[in-house]
Amino acid sequence: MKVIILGDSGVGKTSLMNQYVHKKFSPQYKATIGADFLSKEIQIDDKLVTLQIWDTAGQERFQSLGVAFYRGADCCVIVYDVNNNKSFDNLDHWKDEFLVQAAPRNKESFPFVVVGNKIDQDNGESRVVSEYKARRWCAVNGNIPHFETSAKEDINVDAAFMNVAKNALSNEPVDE
Amino acid sequence: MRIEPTEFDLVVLGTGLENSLIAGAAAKAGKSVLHVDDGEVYGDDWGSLTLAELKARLEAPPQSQEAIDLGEEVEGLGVRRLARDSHPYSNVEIHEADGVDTGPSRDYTIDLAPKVAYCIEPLIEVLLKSGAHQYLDFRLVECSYIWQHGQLRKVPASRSDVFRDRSLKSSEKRMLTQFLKMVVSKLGDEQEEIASDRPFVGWLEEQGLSKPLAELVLYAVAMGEQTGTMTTTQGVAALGLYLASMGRYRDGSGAFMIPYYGSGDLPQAFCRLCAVKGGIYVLRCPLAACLTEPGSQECRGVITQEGQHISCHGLVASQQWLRSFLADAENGASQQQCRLSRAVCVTDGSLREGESQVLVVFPPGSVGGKNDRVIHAIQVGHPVCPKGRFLLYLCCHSTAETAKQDLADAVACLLREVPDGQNTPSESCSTIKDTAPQMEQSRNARNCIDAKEHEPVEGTTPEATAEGERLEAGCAPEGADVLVDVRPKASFVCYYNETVELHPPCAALPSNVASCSGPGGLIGYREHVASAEAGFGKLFPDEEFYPVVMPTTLQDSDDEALGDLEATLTTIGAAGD
Repeated sequence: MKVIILGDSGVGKTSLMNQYVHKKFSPQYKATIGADFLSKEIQIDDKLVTLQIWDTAGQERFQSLGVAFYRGADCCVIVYDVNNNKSFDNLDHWKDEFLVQAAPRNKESFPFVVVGNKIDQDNGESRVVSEYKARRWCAVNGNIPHFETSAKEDINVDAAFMNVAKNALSNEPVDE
Repeated sequence: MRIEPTEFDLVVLGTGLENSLIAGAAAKAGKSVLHVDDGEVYGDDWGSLTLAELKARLEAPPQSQEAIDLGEEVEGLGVRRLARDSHPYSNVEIHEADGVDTGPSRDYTIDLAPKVAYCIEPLIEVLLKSGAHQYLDFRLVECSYIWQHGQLRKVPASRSDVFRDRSLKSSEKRMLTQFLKMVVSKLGDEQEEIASDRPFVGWLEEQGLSKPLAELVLYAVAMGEQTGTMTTTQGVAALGLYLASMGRYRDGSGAFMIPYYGSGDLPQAFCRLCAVKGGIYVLRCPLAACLTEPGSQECRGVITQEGQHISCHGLVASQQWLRSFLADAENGASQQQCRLSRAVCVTDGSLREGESQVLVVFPPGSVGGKNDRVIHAIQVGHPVCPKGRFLLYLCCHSTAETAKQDLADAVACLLREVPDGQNTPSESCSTIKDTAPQMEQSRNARNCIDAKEHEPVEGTTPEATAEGERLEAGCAPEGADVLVDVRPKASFVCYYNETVELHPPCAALPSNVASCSGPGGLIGYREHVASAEAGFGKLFPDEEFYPVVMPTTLQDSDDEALGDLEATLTTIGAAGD
């Protein structure tokens, strides 16, 4: 199953992937070089599922993701940084962009998951996006599941991706 | 919007296939790459578009950018304007059937550069070596057909196909099998015995192939484009490529495959590859000028339309951006162009029931003797168009004034109704709307014309009656391989000419500037990979173009990659759905 991770540059997309798949975190920010996609097999109920998680490879920086990146996604994860208002404001943009580019058949019910990352930063002192505000956005946008994570401290990362996997699985067309 | 950093080893302008191949190769070789395109989407003239975008793109040229005032010199460097002042598309004619809903425009992924790839060709090897194959899925072309005597004739894709083919007489089956065996054995001998500059077509006849068989081999197996131009050496190499490609990914499958979502995904795969290796991507970013070293004219940097200066040690751009370099090149107006005629049709059914990806070859003269050049057609289905509909692409080198004049008759051969204002059946391919017997009749009549036009072949009498009898006796039993009047209808057809700028002589450009050409015809990517490799070699003479990277051993990684691709192909299957 193909999962794509969207969100502004620097919110921690690559770190989340790496923490989830490799249990590794690198404190240095490298404007994504070398991140491609990672695969992880997980058990959901009685099903063994392979998640293929696609990074943006940095092409989001200048709004230059191509349609090929979006195609065939079973779930779309949108990440923001709880310490950065603009990255939260851009959730709308990324969601719209996904729906236009990927053109999924089930526009209304397509599974998104929203992740607010970097909750560990300054012990939460620098947080500007409250959980309440984020949950409200998610509720208004079709009850999108919402997680707050720290890729650095490995908080809630597994739970977020487990939800992603379940949602992706539910999106599998029955007839194909 | 400021681009950081401001210095790169290479700046690539345009996201066509050749450009993207070079960008990916440079990033793989550890070079820093800035890859920009003035368009909203990837691909340039190689892109894929929705139906609405296609109409807009063909009819209105991309807006030419406002000239910004740059002066003649910046920090001691010359300023050479980069401007695309021409639109490659002309004679655009779009026809839509009244009252037919073609479905949402977004459900279409229409290639500006549709192509089939040989299952073995440099592009596929580059995809495997680079890992870019992971970004793409392919599907096999299920069947090739050749248009002969007014009908689609299946091109055998395997030995068992040869035996099963009821349109072949048993003597022809023997002839063809023996011929192919001989070619395979000769290829093993490093072609010594058959290397020759003589025309391939003559050689085929010497081998004892009947005229229809020689035609089949020349146009639908060796994929020759003109009667006399292919030499025996080239022809035998082309046969070798085809035979090696056949059945590579599935027994009994043909020689060709096609990206699942169309050819427009190929440049994007190489762009992603480049991005993964650190290349920076900026769409909607025209470049205004190139900064050149006085004297050598070597590129030292570029200026974006927004006025930002970026230093670089090399520049790659589509040929159409580099005119200003050629204007004062010593060999003057050596700008070479070729002109293609293209058609895109949206149909309501497949050319052949149960098949989706289909290739059709019209040999010269096969469309009522009118087409001087080979016409190729590719049909593809869902997911590049809504389920139940198909896209049919046609292409040939133009000889007539407009694409429609070149292609409308061939379109009329394949489709029952076309909303192109040419509903009157053309003489060559009368549109049969009534019953099958009438169609038989007219086909016989047509054979008669064909037989007179062609030179008599040994063993066959060029008389209408003989030809007709043969047809009824051997070629068209029980409608098995016969197209009756169930041909699909088109609800949309669009004709246009495309002017493709070819490479100028290398010397015409500065030593650190390479050009990329636009897309050619429908068959294969060899010339484009070769051209990208040459461009890359010019800029980075010490680097290898997509070397095999070895996690373990060379053999293993390649096998593994091959395994991956094979697995993908098997799961997808030839039928698409």
